[in-house]
Formats: sequence, structure tokens, C-alpha cells
Amino acid sequence: MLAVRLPGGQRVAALLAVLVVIAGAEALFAPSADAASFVPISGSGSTWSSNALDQWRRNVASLYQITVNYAPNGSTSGRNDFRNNQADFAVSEIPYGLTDGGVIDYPPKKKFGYMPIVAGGTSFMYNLKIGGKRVTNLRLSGETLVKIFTQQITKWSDPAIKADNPQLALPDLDILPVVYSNGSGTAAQFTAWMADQYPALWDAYCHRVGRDITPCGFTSFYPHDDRMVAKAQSQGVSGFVRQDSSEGAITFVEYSYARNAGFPVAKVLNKANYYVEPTAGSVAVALLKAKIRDDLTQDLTQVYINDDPRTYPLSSYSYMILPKDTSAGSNFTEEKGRTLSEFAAYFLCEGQQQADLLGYSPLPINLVQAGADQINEIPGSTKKLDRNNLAHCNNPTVSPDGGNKVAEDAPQPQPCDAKGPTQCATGTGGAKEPTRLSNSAGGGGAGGSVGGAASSGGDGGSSSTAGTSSANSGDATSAGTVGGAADGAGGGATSIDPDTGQVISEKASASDSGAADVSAVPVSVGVADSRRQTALAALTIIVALALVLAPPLITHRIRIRAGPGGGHRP
Amino acid sequence: MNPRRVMVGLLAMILGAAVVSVLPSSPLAHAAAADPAQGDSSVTMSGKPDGPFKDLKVTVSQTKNLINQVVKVSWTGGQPTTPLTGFDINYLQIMQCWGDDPGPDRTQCQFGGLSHTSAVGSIAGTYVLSRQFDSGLDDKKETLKTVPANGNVGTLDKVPFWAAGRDKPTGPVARDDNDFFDSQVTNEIPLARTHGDGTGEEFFEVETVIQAAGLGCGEPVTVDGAIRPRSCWLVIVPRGNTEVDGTVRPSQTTSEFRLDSSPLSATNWDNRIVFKLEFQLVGQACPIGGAERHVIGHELAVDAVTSWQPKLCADGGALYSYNQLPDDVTRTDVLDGTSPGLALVTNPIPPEQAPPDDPLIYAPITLSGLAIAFNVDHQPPSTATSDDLKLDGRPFQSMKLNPRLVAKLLTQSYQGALQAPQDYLKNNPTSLITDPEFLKLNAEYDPKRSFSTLYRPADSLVQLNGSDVTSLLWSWVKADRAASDFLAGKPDDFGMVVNPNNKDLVLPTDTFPRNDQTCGPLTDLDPQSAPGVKGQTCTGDTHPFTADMHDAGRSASRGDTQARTIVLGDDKKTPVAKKVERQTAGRRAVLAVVDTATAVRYGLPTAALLNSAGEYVSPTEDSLLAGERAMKPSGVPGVLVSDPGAKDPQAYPLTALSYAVTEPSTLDADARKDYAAFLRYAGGPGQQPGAEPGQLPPGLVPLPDTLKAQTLTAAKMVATPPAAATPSLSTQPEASARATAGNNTSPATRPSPPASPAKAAAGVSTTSPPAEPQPTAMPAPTVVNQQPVAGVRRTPAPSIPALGGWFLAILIAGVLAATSSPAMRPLGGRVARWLDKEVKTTER
Repeated sequence: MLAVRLPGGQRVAALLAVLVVIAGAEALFAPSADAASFVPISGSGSTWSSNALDQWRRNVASLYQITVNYAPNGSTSGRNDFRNNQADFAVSEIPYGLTDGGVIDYPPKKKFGYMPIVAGGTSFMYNLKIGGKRVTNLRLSGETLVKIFTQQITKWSDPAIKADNPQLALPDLDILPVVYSNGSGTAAQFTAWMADQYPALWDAYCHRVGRDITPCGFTSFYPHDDRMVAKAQSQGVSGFVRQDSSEGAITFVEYSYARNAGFPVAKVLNKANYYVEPTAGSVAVALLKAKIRDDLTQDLTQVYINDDPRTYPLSSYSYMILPKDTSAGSNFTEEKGRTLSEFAAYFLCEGQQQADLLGYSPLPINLVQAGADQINEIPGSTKKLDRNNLAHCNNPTVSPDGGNKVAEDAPQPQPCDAKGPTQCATGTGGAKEPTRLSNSAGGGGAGGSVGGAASSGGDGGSSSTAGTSSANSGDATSAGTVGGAADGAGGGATSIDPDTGQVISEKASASDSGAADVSAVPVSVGVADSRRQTALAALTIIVALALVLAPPLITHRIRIRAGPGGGHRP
Repeated sequence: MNPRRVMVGLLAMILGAAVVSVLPSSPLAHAAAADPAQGDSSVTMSGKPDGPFKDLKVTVSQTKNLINQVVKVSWTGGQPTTPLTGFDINYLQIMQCWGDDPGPDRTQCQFGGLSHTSAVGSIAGTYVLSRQFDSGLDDKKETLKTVPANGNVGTLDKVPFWAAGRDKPTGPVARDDNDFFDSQVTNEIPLARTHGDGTGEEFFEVETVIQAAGLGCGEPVTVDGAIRPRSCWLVIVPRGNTEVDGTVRPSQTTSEFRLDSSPLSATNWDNRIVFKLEFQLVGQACPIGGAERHVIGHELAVDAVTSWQPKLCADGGALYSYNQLPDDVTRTDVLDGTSPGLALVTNPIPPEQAPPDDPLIYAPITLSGLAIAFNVDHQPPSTATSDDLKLDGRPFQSMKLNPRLVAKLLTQSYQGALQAPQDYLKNNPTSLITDPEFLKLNAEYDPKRSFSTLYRPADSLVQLNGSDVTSLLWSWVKADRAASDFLAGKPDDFGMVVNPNNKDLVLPTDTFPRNDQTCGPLTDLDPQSAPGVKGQTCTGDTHPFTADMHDAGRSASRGDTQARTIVLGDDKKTPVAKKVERQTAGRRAVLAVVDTATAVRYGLPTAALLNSAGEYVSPTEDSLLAGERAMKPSGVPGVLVSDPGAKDPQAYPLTALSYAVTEPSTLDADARKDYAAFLRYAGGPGQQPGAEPGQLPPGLVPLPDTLKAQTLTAAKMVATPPAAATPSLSTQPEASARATAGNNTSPATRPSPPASPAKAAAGVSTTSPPAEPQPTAMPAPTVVNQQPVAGVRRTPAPSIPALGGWFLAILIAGVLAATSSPAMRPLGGRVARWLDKEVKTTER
């Protein structure tokens, strides 16, 4: 019960207060009319989060006359600029001090801190058509993804992709992986996940492309061979993939880029065997398992294997690296600190309201609290946020029980999103139109992709590697890919342990499939819709509770205390 | 001079090394945007009558009533800067300062922010960009003394900066930059060139306290007991060929050939010419920390909404945030209920997709257009005539483009649009300026007269994401026979063909196709040092998309093509992208497809486009209004769409409206109130043109009265609860749709515009305040009852304030229910008693 968890004291008043806080923070908000002007500040870094940052910057400029300049040149560039005092702050997906390709990314000598600014999903935007119609409902398992981006799966008709997509008649078309040519936090996020979850596949690839480090680990500089395309920054990769001439291409970008481009993203298989899209809700759910270190940097290893069926596994936070001293040569001043602290307080609270609209996921309140501490350590900080009193912080994740409301409200995946013989037709990302499903549920016979001429005739492109093999479902083998033959047997429910090469049998998948509702082509309902419905359902419950509990409580109170409890809203 | 056609802006940053995107935060008015009502406040002054610059006459185009804007600084009677490739001698140094009459102290000037840039020592002398008063030369007038090295502070040899409202510094400092400005903030123009005829001009961005906190210009200060905006100064330090110690620097000899000292050195500072700058009071910002009311929508309305935001919050109004999304995404958000409640788009939601039971209300918000903007300088070869040579470095002011030329530019059909030459384009011109079709229309661009060097416009900066105005552009191209034939593969009269990779596009599309991804080899790849490393530089690297139209416009104004080349990274193995240097001032050739407000904001001239009546028309206030009159019904009542095929000879073919769309039945009372207020403002004060906060920024044209009236009517309907509003709406269906089927004006319902000469769409205030909407011209409210679509169900948006309303209502209802319902009491009593017990336990 709601009331039980409340601290002691005026229970009824507290209950009401909570409801009012949920209801409309503006009731408790007291504006602080600080008219003094703000010195402009400049930052540099991530493109992953720049779609959110840019909107915040414009809004604080026009509403609050705070000028924040930002150069979205990539996380690596951002960390360099901050270290070299070329930027007042940086935005990066990864912290300093990590070893990338054997090179240590040394932290700057000045004092600094990390502060999460927004969450999101690193998503896989692709350009694929069947019979001239855009595919919008592609599903990919983690292993398939890794093999695509390590050149072990090179055809869309590969049996592994077919196993993920039992109701798509995938074409015999080359896959064109598109990666970053700049030092990219998005690449760091993706490779960190690969290195953690599929180390054997990833290390083997690193070796093959000349990066002889074991373990290969994450990298901001995606190692690529000439069968991949490398483009600068999120705009470059998404701009390439969206061209008609790029059919067959797939890349990794923050979800907002795919959404703004009107393109679909792959649903990625999570540990609960559901294929999930990186929406605000699925990212928030996944990040409930993020471990936040003392310096606020993220340990995502538990996020990758979060077994909540609503999880999007490649979820993460983006960070602002902010200065904590004004020493000579740092170019940072207390005046700038004043500006930076106001800007940060804005985006941790009110700015998070816009996260979902922009293709991101809002930061949960515990990170806002931690962020408040960071802001207060900026020299010249106006110290607007107090971790113990965030009542006026209009952050959308605030839940009465201290949890993350966005995660709590996240809808369960549809039954057709379960691993199994059916799949959902609904669109994803910026492409909401549904995809027509082929009838051959269960992977019988269709496809029959004959591999055709060895792919791309590159040097050594088809050498077998490190004991892993592709192909885990029924039908044809695809020639030209990695050595291992298809196992021929089995239904669509086997996978292969990346470390051992052993076949692991699946348990859960078949059970849900019976419930799948793939009746013809479902009319687009949209993810947002079901989310909305869940929100409404939760709301209804709370309201009902309030209806049942609050009035009698109030009545009772009023009677006992003869009304002087005072200050109640109604 | 046509005020639209001047180069603005961030020229101040020509030497700025940093590539940081500056916000389109504050309205940059046009150079000559002086409000006629304020009169001409231009001022001309000369150097000291007894000094070396007595013949120099400098004019500042506007000195009163200033906001953050650009003013033109022009001069005559100077000595030509030498050499052409640098700044050895004879140039001007321009800066903004604060201070009381009779003029600023040198400590009060914003200068030195660019002293760390690469210009120092390459194109200009050692300390000319610095505040360093001690240049090692004997300056007899100098009063400051260098303080030697002291601990880790360094030599104190620079003029300190005294910020407005702070204590005056007491002695020299070690650094050029300081708490208040650096290379990102400063507006100084450290090197301004005098041309061969003794004239020169620069566009100087005047900064208020919002941009330059250290100067405090425009902030309220108390003068003689009254609150006034702080006035400031524009200071010009002219530089000749003589150093502070009296030695003459000859330019272009081997040693000590150029000026080295700072303009703040006492002798140089003595030659200054000072203009008083009077500012408007800078408006108050909104109180930070409140809950915002969200609006989403396309980029076309960004400048207007940005201007309105601070005004809308005044007097307790809502804080409106604006999130820019592509039109298509915005429409999807409206349909799936993600939209916060008010969304701005150009094209309406197709009737067959619209909600069946909920009427959508459309209200026009802004009128503007899409433009092909350019930043191309005259770069005559040495063989050009002397008349042409005089134009060296000057930006071109005009350009004519027909649909086929635009099609060529936007389909990678000029050879220069690709990273490496391809056989299929080998008979095509390398760029626009070698295309005989272009030169027939634009003879002044002939390479023999105007282009000697490397940068040649072969394509245009275009945005990555989709946009309705991009669709409009393609519709215009498609409607032209010659252009559509070209796109289908038919060569032009000179044998030029479309890039086969972009042939047979399905038009209109809302994006810019770049299907040709031709790559070339890495330029710096040394097979010796990096064996086995492969890499390519591709067309997508050297001709990338921009983030949006503002990004394109700003880049074009800075001569930044955003190109990257691929080079080897620090590990000498991994190819990485490296940004290409910006084109230098005087040597620029960049085009950009941007909306008219963006073009004006960044001071870019725009091309005259061929309309269906066979006229070349630039985007001006008159031509955009004509374009609006030529619009046709969209099929959704109350929404007009542009008609590129309109036969009005005055109409600009790429005229576009921004419409707000909302679904009032999904909104709670607070949201309706706020969105209605937004619409009232948009249809009222927000249409007053001007560069002040709250006004309609330059580059946007005030809506015609009928459209304003439509928006005000929509505001009323949004304010009224939907239950009451709906019936009254459905009674007035298509009344507002244009009666005539699209072309030409509809004289019966519309007043014909005054026959004024073509006026710039932007930068010039309209002559008279907009008339009040005529009751007779009142268009019908625009509600769209649309057909059901199976299975689409939507629920109201639970915005936080919306929930607030719910909860309160329910709580109140609950209280009433509880007090009136005996059945509820026992339960309530039990829980409350239990709670009481709990309280006692914990309190004990």
C-alpha cells in the first residue's frame, strides 16, 4: 500500500502531498527570478546524445538566455577538447582512463567529474526491402548482430537471420555494415557490449583485421575492413544507410537518428528471449540493472543480461564531463560555472521531460540526485538542486515508491515479439508502417538462399575463425560465409555458446508462441500507444486507490482533529 | 543596396579556430534592419584631424536602438591592405567596448579572444591579435609596465580586461582571455581589409549582455536616478604602416616587414575612432525551473517560436519548450498520441490517417519559404579585367536558378560533387560555374572573369532529415518539363546528363538523395609507414549532410563545407575522419538549401528561382505573399499547400506555411489554456515583424489578415472545451479553403497587396502595422472530421499537468463521495486508525 511506505508524521498530509507532487509539480514550484546574465559556455563531444542536447540548448537560449555552444564531433574529440582546455565541458559515452586498442586515454590533470545526462538505446538502423517494400520489423539476436558486424554473416538470407525472422522472406543480398570513421562513443558502447557478451567472436575479428590485442576489449575506433563502409559521425552513418542505393546496409546509432530519418531499427533479443525495440520504456527497464560506480560511471554488464522481458540490452547513459576547478590554464571560470550549473540543473529535471519525444529515455531520479551533487561541486555553481529535496525537479521518472516511473509503466512485449515461429508485423523506429509477413511461420522450407559466388572476393574474407559457427536453424546453408556448416537439425530454438561453441537448447521460446496474434497484417498500433495504455492502467489503479483511501482518510482525519489539519488541497 | 544581399556575420570569427556550433539563439537582425520609425542612426567619423588617419572616413550603419544584431561598418580613404593573402600593413581592427562618456578605456574592450589562432605569425604579425602592450618595441606613450615572471603565472604583459559591473583591475595580466570572453564569445574583427580603391566593409555582430556578459550592453543601469539600458562603444583602431616605435614596415620583405604590436598598445590605441552604441533594454529571461509546456514540430517555425518563447512567458504565461522534429515524425507523433498537444507542420495529416472521431484543428503560424542561399566570392584570375579584379574577394549578390539547374545541383550531377571522377559524368561540367546553362543566366560568374581557384560550387549543403519544404522543392523541380526530362535521363542542350545513380527518383521526396557514394584513395596514405592499411575518402565524407537547415546556413556563412577527409589516426593504422579547413574569406563558394529565415539569420543572399509564369523571383515579402495567394486547398479543410505550378508572375515558387495542429479533445483544461494562448500570440503580436524578442524575425513574412483571423479563431476553439466546440465546428466545413483551385489570386476575398517595389522578405520592417482582422474576411474554423481507420485507437495524452487536473478532480469527487457515503466511512476509519497507531509507534 502506498501509505505504508511513507515516513512517519502526518500520514494523510503526506499522502496528499505525494499525490500533488505526482499531479503537478508546478503547485510547489517557487520561481527564482535570478536576473543576472550568463556567460556563454562551450562544449564538445558525443553525437549519440546531441539530438537531445541541441534541443535543450536552444530552449535554454530562448527561454532563459543561457548560451551553450556545442560541437558534436564525437566523444573522443570531446574528451580531447576537454583535456586540452578547448572546451568547458565534454559529453562522452565513456570515461577517461580506459585502454582503447592498447592506448590509455589519460584523464586531464585538472579536477573533473562525470554526470549522466540522458539515457538511450544504441540501435541498429537498417535499409532492407522485400519485394520493393521496406522491412520494418527485423529482429536480430545478439550473436547474429555480432556476426554481422564482424563479417561472419554477410548475407541477409543467412540462416541465422532467418531464424530470428521466421516470417520474413529475406533476400539473397549482401549485408553492408556501416561503421564510424571517427572516434565514437556509439562505437565504444557497441563494442563494449560485444567484448563483454561475445568475447570469442569479437577477439577473433580483431585479430583478423590486424588488432592483435587479447582481449580486444571495447574501442571508440571501430576496426573495419574494406567490406564495411566507414562514415563520420552519427549523421554520416545514418545519412549513408538511408540512401536508396544503400539497400542492405545496417549501422548503429542512437535511436533518435533512426527515428528522425524515418527508418526502422532492429528489435534485439534479450535474455528473456524477447526481441525488443529501444524505446524510452525498454531502455529505462534495462538500466534498472545498471551499476553506477562511485564516480557515477556506468557498469552495464548486468544491463546486457537483464532478464526482464521488456529489456533492450544495448541501453546506456551518456555523460557530461564537467570541470571542478578553475586552475590556471583550465580556461574555466566561476562565471562559466554559474552558467553550466544552471544548464545542468535544467536538463536533469525539466529537460528530461523532452527525452522520450526526442528518441531518448529520461534519467531516473537516483541519478538526478547524484547529478545534483556533481553540479554543486562545479566552481561558481548556483546549487539549485538539492538531492534531498527534488520536489520541484520535474523529472518524469519520479514515482511515488521511489522507483522509475518510466520503467514501471513500460509495457510488456507483445507475444509475437517472443523468440519463436512467429513475429510481429508492427514497424519500429521512424518507420511505423507494418511489414507484410510471409505465411511460412516456423521456418519450413522457404528461402532456400543459395549462397552464390563467394562474397566480395576479398582477401581472406571467408577464413574460418575461432571455433564458432553460424547457422542455427532449419534450412539452407549459405555458402561464402564462415566455415561451419549448418546443423540442419532442430527447430528455430537453438543457439550456440560464443565461448564454447556448444549448442545450447532453449527453454522458453516455444511456450509463448502459441499466443502470437499474427492475424493478417495488424493495423499499426504503435509502441507509444501500448505504453500509453499501460500508463493509463497504472494511473487508473492509483486513482482508484486514491478514491478508495484518500477520502475516508481525510474524513476520518477531519473528524478526529476537528479540521485543523489545515492546508489540504480540496 | 539591397539589404538582404550583404554578407553578415560570423565574419568576426574568420580567424576563429574552434568549430563550435553557435546557437541560433538570438535574432541576428539584418545589417540594415533599422526600424524606419527610429530614423537613420548611422554615424560617420574620421580619424584625428592631425593624425595619420585623417582621410579615413568610417560609417557605422546603425548606432541606436540596438539589439544583438549585425551592423555594417564601411570606410573610404584608407590605404590598401597588403598583401592580398595576408595582413602585413594598412588594415582596421574593430572591437566592442563598454564604458561611460567620453569613451572607453582600453581595459574595457573585448579584444584578444582570437590571439591563440593560427593566423598569428602566418597571415599577420605577432601581437596584433593580442592584448599584449609590450611587443618589444619602444612605445613612448605606453604607461603600463611589464611585470616579470612570477611563480607559475607567467609574464604580466597584457592589458587587463575590466568587466562591466566589476572592480577595475589594478595591473597587467598574463592572459589574453579571461572570465568573460574567449574565442567562442568575442565579436572582435581583428583584421579588416581595405581594398585597392581605399574602401572596405565588414559586418560586425553587436553583442548585448546576453552574448557578452563582460560588456553588459543593454542591461539596465541607473543613470541619474532612472533605469536605462547601458550604452556601449564600437571602437576602430586603424593601422597604417608605422610601428609604435616609429619604424616603417614595408610589407613583404624578409624581416620586420609587418606590424607586430597590439591595437591596445598606447600609441595604436591613441588613433582609435569611437562610435557610441545605444541599446534597447535587454528583455528579462523567463524564470528558470518551472514546468514547461511542450510544443513539437518542424524547423520552419524555429526562428519564430524562438523569438516568441521569452515573450510568451512574461506576465505569468507558460514556459513553452520547442522540440524540432522532421515534419513526418511530427505527424506520426500526432497520430500515435506522442505529441505533447501542439505540433507544427507544413503539410496536414492525410484525411484517411486522421483520427475518425476527434477533429484536428489547424492554424497557420508563419509564412516563409525555402531558398537556395549562397556564399560565393569573386575570385578573378590575374588575367581578368581591372574592373573584375577590383571585385576580388567580394561576395556575389545575386544568382538565378531554374528547376533544371537545381536538379543538377541536388543530384550529384556535376563532376565536382563526387570524390573521384567517374566516366558516367565525364561530359558533365565540373561545377555550376562551368555549366553553360548557368552562365547564360549568370554571366558574371564566368570563370574567366570571376574564378581562378579551387573552390567551385558543384552541389549544395542540404539537411539530412526529411522536411515538407524539401518535398515542395522537388515538386517544383518535377513540375518543370526540362527538369523532369533531365532527371529521367534526357541530356540538357549541352549534353549534360543526370548522375545515373540518382536517375528516375520518385518525386516528390522529402529528402535529398545522395545515392552516388563514389570513393577515392586516401590522400596521405604512405604505404611505407602503414603497410597493409587501406582506406578511402568517399563522397559522403567530403560532401556530407548537415544536421538541419540552420546548420547548413551557418556553415555556408562560414565557408564551411563540413567536408572531412580520411587520414590515418594516431596509431598509424586506423583511418579516421579529419575535418577540412574552412574556406577563407574572399575565397568562398558554398551553397545551402535553407529556409528564408535561416538565410537572413546568417546573412546569405538567396537565388532568384524560375516560377511557372517564367519569371525569376527572389524570396521577398511581396513574392512570398504572392506565393501564399497562389496556394491551393490541400484536401484538408483550412489547410493550404503551395502550388509550384501557379501562374502568378510575382509568386515565389517555394513559399510555405507553418501550421499548428492540435486535437483539443485530448487536452486537459490547463493545456488548452496554454495552447490557446500560444495560438493567440501567433495570430496576433507574434506577427509584428522585427528582431526584438517576441516579434516575427526577419526572413518570415507577417501572415495575411485572413490567416491571422483563422489562427485567432482556432485559439478560441482550443480554449473552449471540445464538447462545446465540436458541434459549432462541424457546421462550418470547408469555408476557409481557397475557393479557386489554386492559381492566381482570388480577388473577391483578398485585398490586393499594395504595389510597392519588391521588398526584402527579411530584414526590413513592414511599413505599417497589420490591420485588425476584418470580420467579413473571417475564415471558418478549421476542423477536420475525418474517416475512421480500423483499429486505430488513441487515448488522451497524460501530460503531467493533465494528471494534475485528473487527480484533483478525482480527489475532490472522492472527498464528496466519502463525506456523503456512509459505506466508505468504516473502511476509512479503520485505515486511519491503523495509521494513527503506526504513527504512534514510530514516534515513540
